[in-house]
Amino acid sequence: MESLERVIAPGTVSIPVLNIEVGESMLVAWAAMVFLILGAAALRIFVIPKFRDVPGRFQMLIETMVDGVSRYTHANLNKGAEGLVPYVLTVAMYIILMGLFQLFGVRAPMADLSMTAGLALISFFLILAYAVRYKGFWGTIKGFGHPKPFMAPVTIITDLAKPLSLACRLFGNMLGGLIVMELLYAVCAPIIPAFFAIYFDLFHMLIQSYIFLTLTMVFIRESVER
Amino acid sequence: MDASGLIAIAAGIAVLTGLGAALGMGIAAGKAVEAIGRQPEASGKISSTLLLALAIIESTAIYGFVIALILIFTKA
Repeated sequence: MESLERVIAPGTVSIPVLNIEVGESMLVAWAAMVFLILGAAALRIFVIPKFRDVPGRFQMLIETMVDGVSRYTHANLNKGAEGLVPYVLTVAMYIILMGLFQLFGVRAPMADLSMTAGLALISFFLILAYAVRYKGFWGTIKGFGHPKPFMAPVTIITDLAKPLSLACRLFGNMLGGLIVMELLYAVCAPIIPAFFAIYFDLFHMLIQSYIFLTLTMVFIRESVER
Repeated sequence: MDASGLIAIAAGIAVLTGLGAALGMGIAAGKAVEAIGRQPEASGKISSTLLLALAIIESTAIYGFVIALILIFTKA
């Protein structure tokens, strides 16, 4: 029970020089950000200038990935999909990278309510920003009373519940996977959990980032069209 | 009075959301299999829709799970 409690509530780590305490998952998130930024810079400086008309294997991989995400975003949004593609790919990479960090023995950073709440807040403001951008300020306010004006309170509550449900969904799924893995490690280490890790650490992350982003896009589309 | 027994019962009741989620997932998966049986060429599209729908249905169970965890692990 002691160790499970440790798993469920993320601990804090104090940084020696600055003398502040940060959450464990915050540290991992910073590491992931540094990794992503350095990777993107390296890609931009060393790989992209060497792109040719006839693609090699690596270029093919990158092009397929970007093209797939772009096509999926365009299929979900009919207005302003172009601007959302980088965001979608970035968040997908971020969530999946967090899952990969989990394989090196750190506590899954995504199973932390503050982390998922941050992502959900970004989605919330994106939904509002897209509505304001394509319908104007008054159009957005009118959109709240869409079918009939007296429905406005319900629509507003629904809108406010969206980030909450996004955050809780991602958090619950990640924590569920984490607990199952932790129990497996406790019961039958070391060989058998490795097979389950393929599902709970890798495939699970893919599915959850896919769902999170699809829901964000669906909400954006709905608020723009309302 | 020590309320830990009551808290455990409350957590158990919260996890009962799994009932509804299981029913919904069963119905959705059954319908998807039917649809693929009727129209095998659309299986790709059906399974991606099914995956998304399952995740959304699952979230009700997840909410119950999160609430149960909060009940158990919050120090009053």
